[in-house]
Amino acid sequence: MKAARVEVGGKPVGTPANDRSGSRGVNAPVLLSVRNIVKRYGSAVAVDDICLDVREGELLTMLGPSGSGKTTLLMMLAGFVAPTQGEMLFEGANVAPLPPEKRNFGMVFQGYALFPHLSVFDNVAFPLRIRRQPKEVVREKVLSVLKLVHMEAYAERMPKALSGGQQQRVALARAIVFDPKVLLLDEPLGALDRQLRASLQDELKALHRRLGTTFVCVTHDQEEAMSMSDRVVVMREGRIVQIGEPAAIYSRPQTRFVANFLGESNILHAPVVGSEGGKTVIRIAGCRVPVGGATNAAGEACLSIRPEHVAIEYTAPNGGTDDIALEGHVRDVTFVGADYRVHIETEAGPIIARCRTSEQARIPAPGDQVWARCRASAVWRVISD
Amino acid sequence: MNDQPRFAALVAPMLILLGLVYLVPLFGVLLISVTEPQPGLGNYANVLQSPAIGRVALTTARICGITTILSVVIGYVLAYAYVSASAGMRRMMMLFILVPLWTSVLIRTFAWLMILGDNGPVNGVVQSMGFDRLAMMHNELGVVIGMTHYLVPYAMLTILAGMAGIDERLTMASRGLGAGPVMTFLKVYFPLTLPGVFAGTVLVLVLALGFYVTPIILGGGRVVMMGEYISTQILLISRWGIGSVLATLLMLVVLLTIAAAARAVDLRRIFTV
Ligand SMILES: Nc1ncnc2c1ncn2[C@@H]1O[C@H](COP(=O)(O)OP(=O)(O)OP(=O)(O)O)[C@@H](O)[C@H]1O
Ligand SMILES: [Mg+2]
Repeated sequence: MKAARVEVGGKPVGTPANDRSGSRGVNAPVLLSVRNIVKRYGSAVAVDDICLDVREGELLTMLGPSGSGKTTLLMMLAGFVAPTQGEMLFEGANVAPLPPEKRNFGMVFQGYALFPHLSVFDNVAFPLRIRRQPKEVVREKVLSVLKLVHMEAYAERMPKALSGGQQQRVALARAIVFDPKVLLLDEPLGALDRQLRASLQDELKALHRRLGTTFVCVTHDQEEAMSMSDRVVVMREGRIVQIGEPAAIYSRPQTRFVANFLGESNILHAPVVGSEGGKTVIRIAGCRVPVGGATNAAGEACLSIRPEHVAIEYTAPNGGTDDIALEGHVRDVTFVGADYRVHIETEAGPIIARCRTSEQARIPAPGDQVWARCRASAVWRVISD
Repeated sequence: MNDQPRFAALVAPMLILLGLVYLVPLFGVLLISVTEPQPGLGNYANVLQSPAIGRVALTTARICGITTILSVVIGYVLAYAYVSASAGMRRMMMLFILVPLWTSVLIRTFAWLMILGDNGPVNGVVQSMGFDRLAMMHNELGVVIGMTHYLVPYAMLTILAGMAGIDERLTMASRGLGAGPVMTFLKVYFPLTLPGVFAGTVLVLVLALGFYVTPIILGGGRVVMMGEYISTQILLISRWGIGSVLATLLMLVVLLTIAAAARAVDLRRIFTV
């Protein structure tokens, strides 16, 4: 067990030789295609006209607040919930009418759903035995997949005698042992404590890289989504609000909701005074600043600035350049380890700055007069929703 | 586990009461079995050698066996139907299960007498279809029907308690892993209901062994089970010795059944989960 952990921590399980992640990315073919899927419960709409293409080999995460329809969408992919409307194409064929057992997708349930009357070995062997694989094949595959999730020492245990993290590994092993083309995971790390989550996130990612299987994962934890996924689907009230790579969504959120849901964001409002080169020009703190992002209407622009892009100056910056400086005073300072979170009351509204503890010559104190400075390129216009 | 002494204190008054009203008379019966008419184990020797008592024991075992199997199978089907039904349907089903349970066994047995009798509705239908009358009364068939009807709710409720605790995600997981509905039932659902089935079997068997009213009425004197035989010995022909030996032996069989059951599965698990 110890040696296995070191291996995981030390270097990724998938070595470059068997790392098939090269085939992933924007150009990989579409494996699973969701077309205009709707799910209604009575008059309530759980999933509202969703279209989504899952590409072969990617790790896609559906992220959204509670009740946004993530589980419902995943259950429709798995075949446990019948869509009210719409199609689901898997390798080009409509799978919407197929029962779950005919779809051949692996599935990890919230709470793991290990069979309590079967040992770890028999749990993992279950899908193989159902497929009537010969005994030796079952044994060999089960042991090798248990090894992959570092559970080979627990083969004879009953699920009740395992910790949450160990159960999660067994559930994972059971879902991948029959080489499904798609693995569906509903809050796979939801029930675990923070530290375990972090290490299992890495393991899950390494496993995904090594297997090359397509993973579709549901979570409401934005950190988890960002650290694991190739692409993130942000959902809200049954609809998709944005799809993209984690870094792209983080740095270029389309809406105010996304800016706030993925990480922390300062939202400011400023009048639009024109446009130039596809960018909106706004007026803020007396300067005309061109900003990227949404370009829709004139009038008032809604702007997002990430706290880590805000620096604190104690003297008025000498104008020019394309920096924005907002004068204000410090209201509150919170020490959060690597960073200070500084609440600043500025002329344009309250702003939070995140400053690296190690880079501060002087620690701001409440009442200090400061200038919150950020580059114009760090200001991003979002749709106010 | 640490709470056990405190739980013991809570049940102590109950145990004392049981001891007074139950164990003391039982001990009396045991005493009679070795003292009437003379002291010694003569009664036991007589009982074990008597062919008449052997026949009664065999009848009892046969009827109890058949009744238990029927009750558990029917109870299982009903419990499964219940957990699969909608909420409204469930209320209806529970009503139909509980009302007979609240009705006196005497009334229910007489009702069966009407239904199964030579001029009852069942035979009416049979005859109108051109068949001969069926003999469903004053024979083992009638007794089995009456007893099964009485015992099915016990089997069903015990099995249901187990079924209701099964996480539906387990059956979903099974489907998701490739098992169809039948395989899911056989490999996942049924094994998980086994503790409940076992508990139900023990309960029904133990209850069946002590049946008295139903065999008397529906058996009409031709199907004599142990309960009736004991009562005849004591109340009609005053052979207290033989009667109490049989009562003791019946009690022993019940205790052995429960003990065997306890060995086979962890009873505490069945009754606490
Ligand atoms: N069986 C059902 N009957 C009625 N409404 C349902 C049912 N299942 C889900 N819903 C509704 O559909 C909406 C989406 O639910 P869903 O479980 O998909 O949310 P979620 O995004 O998974 O949330 P969470 O993060 O809390 O798990 C919710 O408003 C929920 O109340
Ligand atoms: Mg959910």
